[in-house]
Order: sequence, then C-alpha cells, then structure tokens
Amino acid sequence: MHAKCSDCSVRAVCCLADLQVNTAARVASVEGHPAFRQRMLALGITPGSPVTVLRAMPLGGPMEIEVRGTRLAIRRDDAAGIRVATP
Amino acid sequence: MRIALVGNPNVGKTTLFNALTGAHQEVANWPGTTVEYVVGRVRAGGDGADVELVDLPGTYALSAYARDEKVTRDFLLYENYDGVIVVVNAASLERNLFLVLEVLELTPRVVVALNMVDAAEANGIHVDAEALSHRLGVPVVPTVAAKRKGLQELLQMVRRVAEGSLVPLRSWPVPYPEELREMLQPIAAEVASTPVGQRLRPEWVALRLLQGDEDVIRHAQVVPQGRQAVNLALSCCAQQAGLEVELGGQAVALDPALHRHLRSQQSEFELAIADAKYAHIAEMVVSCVRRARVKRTRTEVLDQVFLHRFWGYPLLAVIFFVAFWLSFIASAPLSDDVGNLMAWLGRQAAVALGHAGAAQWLQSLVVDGLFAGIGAVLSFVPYMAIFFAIYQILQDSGYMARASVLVDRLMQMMGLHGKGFFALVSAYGCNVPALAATRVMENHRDRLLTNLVIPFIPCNARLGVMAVMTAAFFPGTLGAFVMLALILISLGVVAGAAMVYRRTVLPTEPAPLLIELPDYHIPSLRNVLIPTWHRVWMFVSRIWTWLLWATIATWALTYFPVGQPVDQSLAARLGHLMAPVGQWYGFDWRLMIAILFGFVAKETTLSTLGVLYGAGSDGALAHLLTQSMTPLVAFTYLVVYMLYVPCLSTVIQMRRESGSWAWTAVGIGVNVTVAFGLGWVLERLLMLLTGAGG
Ligand SMILES: Nc1nc2c(ncn2[C@@H]2O[C@H](COP(=O)(O)OP(=O)(O)OP(=O)(O)O)[C@@H](O)[C@H]2O)c(=O)[nH]1
Ligand SMILES: [Mg+2]
Repeated sequence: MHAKCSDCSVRAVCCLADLQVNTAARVASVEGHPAFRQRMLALGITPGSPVTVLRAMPLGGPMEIEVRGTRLAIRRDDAAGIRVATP
Repeated sequence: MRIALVGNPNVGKTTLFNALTGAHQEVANWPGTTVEYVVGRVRAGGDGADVELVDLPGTYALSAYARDEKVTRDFLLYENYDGVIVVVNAASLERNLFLVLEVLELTPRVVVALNMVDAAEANGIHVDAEALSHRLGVPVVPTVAAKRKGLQELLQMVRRVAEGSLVPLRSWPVPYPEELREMLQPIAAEVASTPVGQRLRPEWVALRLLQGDEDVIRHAQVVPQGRQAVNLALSCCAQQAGLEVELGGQAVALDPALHRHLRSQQSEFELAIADAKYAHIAEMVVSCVRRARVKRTRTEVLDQVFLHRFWGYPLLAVIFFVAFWLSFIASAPLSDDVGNLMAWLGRQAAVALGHAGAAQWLQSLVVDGLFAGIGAVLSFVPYMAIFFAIYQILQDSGYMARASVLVDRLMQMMGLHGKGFFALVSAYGCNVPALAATRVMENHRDRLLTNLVIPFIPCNARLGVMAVMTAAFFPGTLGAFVMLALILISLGVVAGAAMVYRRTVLPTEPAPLLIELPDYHIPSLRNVLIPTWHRVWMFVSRIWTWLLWATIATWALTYFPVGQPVDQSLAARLGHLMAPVGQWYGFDWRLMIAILFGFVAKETTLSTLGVLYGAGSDGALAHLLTQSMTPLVAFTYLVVYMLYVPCLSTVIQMRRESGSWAWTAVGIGVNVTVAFGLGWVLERLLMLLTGAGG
C-alpha cells in the first residue's frame, strides 16, 4: 500500500496508486496542490470519470493509466493523490 | 491576417505549420517539442491577403503553469490575432475537446482542425466532422497534416472566419448548470463594460474570476468597473462558502483564514466548471464518434514489449548502447575520411601557395591554421549527423516517451524531474538545445536543477574529441571500455550533482510527472532528416562565427614572435602562467591552453592541440600526443576536459534559461570545481593503483 494512502480504510475507496492492473474504477476525488488538481481536471481526471491502470512499472516506478481514451504515465506518488472507487 | 495554431501537445501543430508555410520547424513524436512561438507566412494564391501563422507550444488548458504553456496562454490573451486554429487529435478527441471549449470561451473565431484522422481510423475510431461542427458551432475540417491532406480546406475556412464572413454563434459554448449560470451572468455583464471585457470575451473573464485566476484578477482590477466584477465574483464565492462578510478586495487580501476559505470555494468552482465541460464533451462524443473495437492496436502490442516490467530495461540499455556505438565508434572511419580529405586539400593548397610565391607566414596560416582547424571541425560532422538521426528516429517513433517512463524511477532518486530525461539525452548531442528543452517543466526549480546538471553531459563535440584521444591512447576494444567508463563517470557526476543540489539549494518535491504516451509510428524521413540537417548546419555554420577566428588566434599565438620555436611563442607564455595548475595533474602547458581555448567552442580542441604540437594537417597529432604523455595522464585529462566548463554558447543559453547571472556563475563554478577536483582525485587514485608513485 502506498505510504500516502495509509488512511485508506474503506475498502471500496482507495488511491489510484494501489489500484490493481486492469481493474475498472472511477475517480472519487483529486487531492493535492492546486496546480496538480488543475492539471488533472484538464486531462479529464474529474470525479466520476472511469480510469484503468494498464501497467505499473516495478520498484515503485510510474504507472500507465487510461482515462477518457488517452494513455498517460503518472508517478506513483502523484497517483496517490487520486482517490478511486471500485464498483 | 494573423492566425494562431493551438492544441494539446503532440497533435501535429508544427507539422501543420511546416506544411502550410514551408518552414522547417522541428517535429517529433514527443509532447513538448515546440517551446517557443514561431511565426511563418502562407502566401496567398492570387486572392486574399497573406496569412501569418503562429505555431504555439502545446497545452492542455488555458490555465497553464509550465513556461511553454504560459507562452500559449499569454499569446491568446494579450496578442493580436484574427483567428485561431485549434488542432485536435481525432484518436483522443474527448481529452482534446476540453481545450477547444476553453478556446471557444475566449474567442469565437475558431476553426477546428481534426488532425490524425488516418491514425484514428487505424485504431477503429471514426469522427463525424459535420456533426461535431454542428455541436461546437464552428467549422471542423478533417486533416492529415503529415500527408498534407485537408490543408487547403482548412486555410479557406480559417480565412472566412478571420475575415468575419462566417460568423460563429452562441455566447456560452458550454451549457453550464443553472446555479453556475446565475453567478456567471452578472459577472460577465459587469466585465463587458470594462476594457478587459472588450479585449477578452466577458464570459471567459467571468469564468476565470470565479475560479480565482490571479493573472486575470490582476488585469481586471486596473479599472473601477473591473474591480467591481472581481468583488462580485468574490462575493459569489463567499456566499457559496457560507460566509457573511462584507467583501472588498482589501479585506480578502488581509485575512488569511478567509482567504483560505475562498480558495477552497474557488477550487470547488473549478471542479464544477471542468465537470460541466467534460459532461458536455461526453455527450458530444456519443453523437459524433463511432468506435469499432479493434482487437489490439499496434501500440498496445509494442508496449507489451518495450514497457515490459522486466525486459523493458535490458532492451532500453541495448537500444541506447547501440545508438551510442553507431554514433561514436562505428562512425570513426567516416570521420577519418573527412579529416584526411581536408589534410590532402591542405597539402594541395600548400603546393599551390608555394608555386605562387606566397609569404611564409601566409602559407603557415593557410595550412597549419585554416585547413587544420576547419578539417578538425568538419571531421565531427559524421558523429553529429549519425547521432542526431538516431536520436530523431527514437523520438519520432514514440520510443523516447517510453524510455522516459522506464528511467523515471532512477530520475526520481536523483531528484530530477522525469521530463528532464529528454533534455539530458539531447544534451549528448548539444547542450544548447537541451537547455531550451527544459521549458516543458512546470516547476522553476526543477528546470533550474536540470539546467545546472546538463553541462556535465559531454556533447557531441566533447565526445568527438574524447573518441579521438581515446583511440590514440587506448587502441582496440580497450578504447570502447574507456569511453564507456568516461560516460559512466559523467552520469555519476550528473546524479551526484543533482542529489546535492536537491538536498541543499533547491529543496522541492519535483512537480508531478505526466507523460502522454503517443502512438508508435514509423518515423518519417522528413522528420528525421530535416532536424538532423538543421543541427549539422548550425554546427558547420559556427565555423564562420567562432571557429575561424579561434583557429586564427591560436595560430597567431603560436606563430608569433616570428621565427621562434613554439615553446617560445605567445601561447607558450600564456600556457606557462597556467602551468602551476597543470603540474598537479601532469598536464603540460599545451594541454592547459587547449582547455582554455575550448571555452570558445569545444570542437576547437583538436585543432588547437594540433597547432600547439606542430602536427600540421596530416593526422600526426595522435602520434605526437602519445609521445608526450602517459595513458594515465590522458585519462585524467579526458575526465577534466569532459566536465570542466560548457562552451560559450552554453553559458549564454544557461543565462537565458535561468534568467540569472548568479545561477549561471554557480553552474560554471561548480563545473570547474568538480572537473578539477575529480581529476585530481582520479589522478592520485590511478597513481596508487598502478603503483607508479609521485
Ligand atoms: N498519423 C499522423 N501523424 C501525424 C499527423 N500530423 C502529425 N503527425 C505526427 O505527430 C507527431 C507530432 O507532431 P508535431 O507537429 O511535432 O506536434 P506538435 O503539436 O507541434 O507538438 P508539440 O510541439 O510538442 O506541442 C509527429 O511524429 C508527426 O509526424 C497526421 O495527420 N497523422
Ligand atoms: Mg510543435
């Protein structure tokens, strides 16, 4: 589990950094620096949007996610700021 | 008329720009290729005015943070233009439409270029341009910029929009929910009567005020009505946040607690606004995009290999090793050929001059100065051409974006930003464009840090000098290992320096890394050859600006006083001044002079050494060098040479990028210190290891 998500108690809501590869999920909320939030919003990572982790690089490397038809690489630490809900 | 080209990164803006204007701006399959705006002209074919096209850096939104994105925003806000072409990638329309809506809110004079329809079709995505145009209320023209398809239609359409003969509609491109509208409309009405509202679309200003955009607030506040609108926006925030405070610009600025409260309300608005946009987009996409599910796209298949959790890494190492081997080892014979050709020309010139009865000094100048100097520089051309071609292939194919994902963990450990990888690799070509490439980073400190470590990376010119000296001192396979060792040393220094800078003077978390992974494609010949030619030409044309004079100066310093041997010359006197430093390392005065002159341009080093050792232009330098120092001294020299100080152009560029002479001075100081410090340590160590003793 990612250090930043240690308070993640509810099973259904967790941070993107801990999401299993190829599991469908939806964004619950985006936390962090305003600039980071803004960038996420511009990229379509808004609450409710579907998101999937396509692959996660080993040793805590970045992960590749797909959101709104685009593939993005994002650092694990940054992904920890994105809460997701699994159905 | 003036038309701006905007769009998300890597959608083909520059390709479109080049196709329309006949320019040769750099294109690559990498988000963040263009970092500055470039203006070009499209000649009108008989009718109508010439069109001036402005190619802008890619951006995801108009609330930009990175310096290159700010270029785009500032252009759209504060410059004059008659229309905007928003280029979108048909294959990822949903994300791209966000920017379209942002621009539409700013100006209605928009034409959408629906680019990369070929790639989209290949992925089974079909976009109905007509329907999309109806939904957006502006023309949508399908294009394939890379194949010059749809360009004339696009140009015609944008002419009509810019001239005003085609008037786009609706003042609110996005149907915001009722409660947002109730707040936006009065603010927009207020803004409409101000100069800001006449320059920029009032709706857009209202949206920005509600989100607390500092730049827009500052601009609005200059006039009384503007301040009123700002206060109105603030009071909307306050009401929403449940605050019952009489709001004035001052009061808000004073109370931090209140301010925080308002900030959080502003980000709520931001969220609501983005949400409304994406909801609208989702609806448009449903009615305009048809998706035939293909089994697996080419990109997915290739990523299974290149981004494999395990095999991706060795593959990366092999690819980069081959790239370097091709550039710096396999190209050596070519480079020798060029050198030999110049030497032969030099001899012919000497004969001709002798026949013509030219003065002794003129003969010396031409043969020992010009031909030797220019020959040494031209022999770098094969290295450069091959390096840049390979680099461009890696980038345009889409592999470079993957490579930066693979090495990101390593970069993170060093405290470097992931996007810096691209700049670091390109630094092996030339440090100057590498420094400019750091502009894709959002955070000033990330940029500065990358700028400070880039000069430790040996550029082509340095690598070329290193390759020649290594070949002379360490023949055969040993040479390849020595080169590898040198490159590893430079990497170690880059990592070490980055860590130290990060822990001491630049302590911040690197800004978030987000790299869009573009589809792979076969690099086009054009995208490889043009930038390669561009770089090589830039290098060759430096012969006239710097090298010729540097070469002549070196020659003069060694030739005068007339009739004296080289070790009595002016150069020798200068060199002897530096000899005390050189002694520590076993460098003689000639090596010190070469280091000093290398500051003008590193590629002069070989010719300087050639002149100083009296090697003439017949390639005897290698032999003379091995005569005058041991391999150990040579190795130390190479380390110092590789690290010590970037060339003059790099220093100037560093000043430009960092915006500060102080940081530039710090960078140079650290360079010199590390180079000579490490050189000293190495020399001692090697002495000990080989048991040679003092
Ligand atoms: N398949 C296809 N590829 C295209 C098309 N237009 C451009 N490309 C490719 O897309 C890549 C990006 O092109 P650029 O012109 O550099 O993109 P840009 O929008 O200027 O990118 P930035 O400057 O980074 O914002 C290049 O590899 C182009 O060859 C097109 O219509 N179809
Ligand atoms: Mg570009």
